[in-house]
Amino acid sequence: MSARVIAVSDDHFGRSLLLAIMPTDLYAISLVDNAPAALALLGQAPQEILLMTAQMASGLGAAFFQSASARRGSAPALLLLSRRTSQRETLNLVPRQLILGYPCTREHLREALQSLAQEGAPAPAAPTTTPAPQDPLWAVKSQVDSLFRHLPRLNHYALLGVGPAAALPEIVRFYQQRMMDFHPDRFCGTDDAVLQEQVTIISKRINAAFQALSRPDTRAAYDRMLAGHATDISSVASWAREVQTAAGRRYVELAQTAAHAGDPHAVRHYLALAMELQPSLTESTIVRLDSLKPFLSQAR
Amino acid sequence: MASVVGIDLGTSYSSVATCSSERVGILADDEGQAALPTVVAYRAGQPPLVGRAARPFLVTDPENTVYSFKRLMGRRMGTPEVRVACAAHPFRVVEGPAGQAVVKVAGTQLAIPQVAADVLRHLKGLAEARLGHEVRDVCITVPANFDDVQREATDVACRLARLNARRILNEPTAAAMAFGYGANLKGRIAVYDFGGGTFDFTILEAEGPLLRVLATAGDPFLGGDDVDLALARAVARHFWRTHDIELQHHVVSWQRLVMACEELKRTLSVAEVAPLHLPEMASGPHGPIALDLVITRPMLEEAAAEHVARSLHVCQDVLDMASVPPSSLDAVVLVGGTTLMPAVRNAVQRYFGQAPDTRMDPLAAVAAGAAIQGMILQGGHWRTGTAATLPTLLLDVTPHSLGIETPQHGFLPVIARNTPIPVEQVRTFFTSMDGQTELTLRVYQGESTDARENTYIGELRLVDLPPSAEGEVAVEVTFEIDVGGRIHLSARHVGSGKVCSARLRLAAHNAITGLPA
Repeated sequence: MSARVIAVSDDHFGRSLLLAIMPTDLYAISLVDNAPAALALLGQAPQEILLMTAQMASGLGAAFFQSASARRGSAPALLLLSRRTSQRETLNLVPRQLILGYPCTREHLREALQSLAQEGAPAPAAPTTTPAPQDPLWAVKSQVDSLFRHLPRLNHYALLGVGPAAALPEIVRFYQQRMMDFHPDRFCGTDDAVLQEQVTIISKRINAAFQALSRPDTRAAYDRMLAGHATDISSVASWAREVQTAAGRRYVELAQTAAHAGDPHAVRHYLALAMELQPSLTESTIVRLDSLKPFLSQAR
Repeated sequence: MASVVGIDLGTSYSSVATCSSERVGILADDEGQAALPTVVAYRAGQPPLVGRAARPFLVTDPENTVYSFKRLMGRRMGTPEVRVACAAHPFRVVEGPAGQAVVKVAGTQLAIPQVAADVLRHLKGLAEARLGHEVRDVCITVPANFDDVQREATDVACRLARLNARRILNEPTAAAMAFGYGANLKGRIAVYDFGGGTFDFTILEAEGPLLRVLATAGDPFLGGDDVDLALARAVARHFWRTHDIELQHHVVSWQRLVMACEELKRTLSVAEVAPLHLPEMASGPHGPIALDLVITRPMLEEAAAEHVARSLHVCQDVLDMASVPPSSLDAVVLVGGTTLMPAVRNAVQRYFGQAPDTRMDPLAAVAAGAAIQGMILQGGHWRTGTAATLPTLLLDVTPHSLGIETPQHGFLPVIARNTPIPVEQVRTFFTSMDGQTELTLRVYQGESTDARENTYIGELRLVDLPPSAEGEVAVEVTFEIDVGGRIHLSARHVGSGKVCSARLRLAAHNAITGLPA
């Protein structure tokens, strides 16, 4: 058994699972923590075996798998897939795949590797990208569809496929890669309206993620939100007590919600609306809001 | 197979191009000319003349011959831009429906999109004759700084010409697409687009097949036309000093002079000196007076200097917005006829510290880029499938901030300028009076903190809200700018979850007649 096995998971649970079952000479990487490393590994080795957890097969992993394969020009020769038997989806992207039990255990993996050893090393990957299923666009469609369904639970980092510590050039690179895959103009030729709607929504989300992460101030606000530390606008909250109209108070509430969501732009928007409703307060408010300048300037 | 053709509807010249799987080509007319003068001559009771056929009428019938009308596209009467244009044009510009600037020619009033449609019809006919099949779908270009009202006006012009504008593309971005087509670019490119009527400057980042706009801005009233006028004024001053006759007061003579100056400007791009001879410009005590001068390149450059300097100010703004120093650019691409002037090239070279890239035909690049985008809209990417071999995918930005007017006429931006598109922002609004059943949002585009100084896009009226105490009724409004840069607004009543009967009334164009349903 000469080929390397690279295991990639798209969540921390999957990574722990993989680390638990992996023999020492294999690699386990969490896509969330270290997507660049995962891609680099896949990019180097021409013939490795890819092990994925169940979530990977249907979720972000499918998209990741696609872009990794496309970048390298060939897919891994063999995909080991751990999934529930009830799960109907498969990654129909490589010449062969072996379904392991779920949850995947060390036993499952050993059996699989033994059966491989008997067969000999896996055949080299086809020179072309992916072996075409009946519909050549099936892969693209399934990629879009799976990402779309996982969209609500992906944070900005996971959506772009970068780690939380990623530097700006890396974020730019992965953003461009993502946009290349999900640009609405790529899907002009299809008459599948659902698919077009899906990529439109996905591309807006990717742009929003990039907008938030590409500027240090908005990224800091977003990071605070992820870490569970809401941005402090308590001085605004004290101001809110002076707001006399219900609508004004509602706007301040929304500003606070936006602060919790790490969206400084929306904070500024709602505060401005609240101020507009109470012209009498405006002047004193502006003085007070000046003390918030470091925060408000983020919204610009 | 129907194709999406690319159309560059320029202030001075227009052209049409196609892109098949491997070739991009400008479609020339029967005389082999690729650039169609954007001029329409109207004659009572006869079909309008377009292009070269219309040019002579600029002199013989200046009141009924419309040119440089793109500067009036989607603009309201009384704005500074329209006042400048009115002063420079011999045809009559009057106030039409919804305050829009319209032209009055050959006894009828025509909206600017109607004039544009005459040019588009001509281009459509030309393309159909060359391609041998009907042309319906187009990708049409506009200056990057066009706001949504101007884009809508362009769209209306297409519909009047029975064309379907599949995409309204920014001119500098289109040029960049042509520049990057098949070139596998990598790095930062600046597009310096100095056309007949507008100036745009755009910085893009190219990464293989992806072209990402970093920032864009422009001056809607800075173009080659202004250089022609500046030169004509300088000549007229000279004439006035010699003969005490003000040529600007004689419509026909002035028009002849401006046209001659445009010609001179082009000649002086290759020659150092050129003669200007215009007989019978005015009548003096001893008979007709001719204008006889030798114009040198430095004279032209002196007249143009102010405009070139203004263009560089725009460049500086964009570089600042993108936080890109001029020296870090990998290429500066020149687009638009005015960039053929050596003075412009030298100024650009001095400013950016590098020789501009002049490999592209500055007159053809925009139409070619539109045709490439047209091929993509036809499904070019979908058919080829993989990302590696594909022509350019474009990530553009919105050139103006989009927002709403607050009760005190403040402008509250919702989507900032230079935000990558497509983009969507959701904002919640509350009723501010007890029993309020209607909520009106006035939508603007621009950068001023005073809404009234920005461009009014339209009004979103939310009606039939349940009467309730103030602050009790919430409406969620979605502001969307699609991948083609067009604005969409929708609203939903929070609580019932029902989509409100929201009506977006556009600022203009409703009154244009003859629009196919």
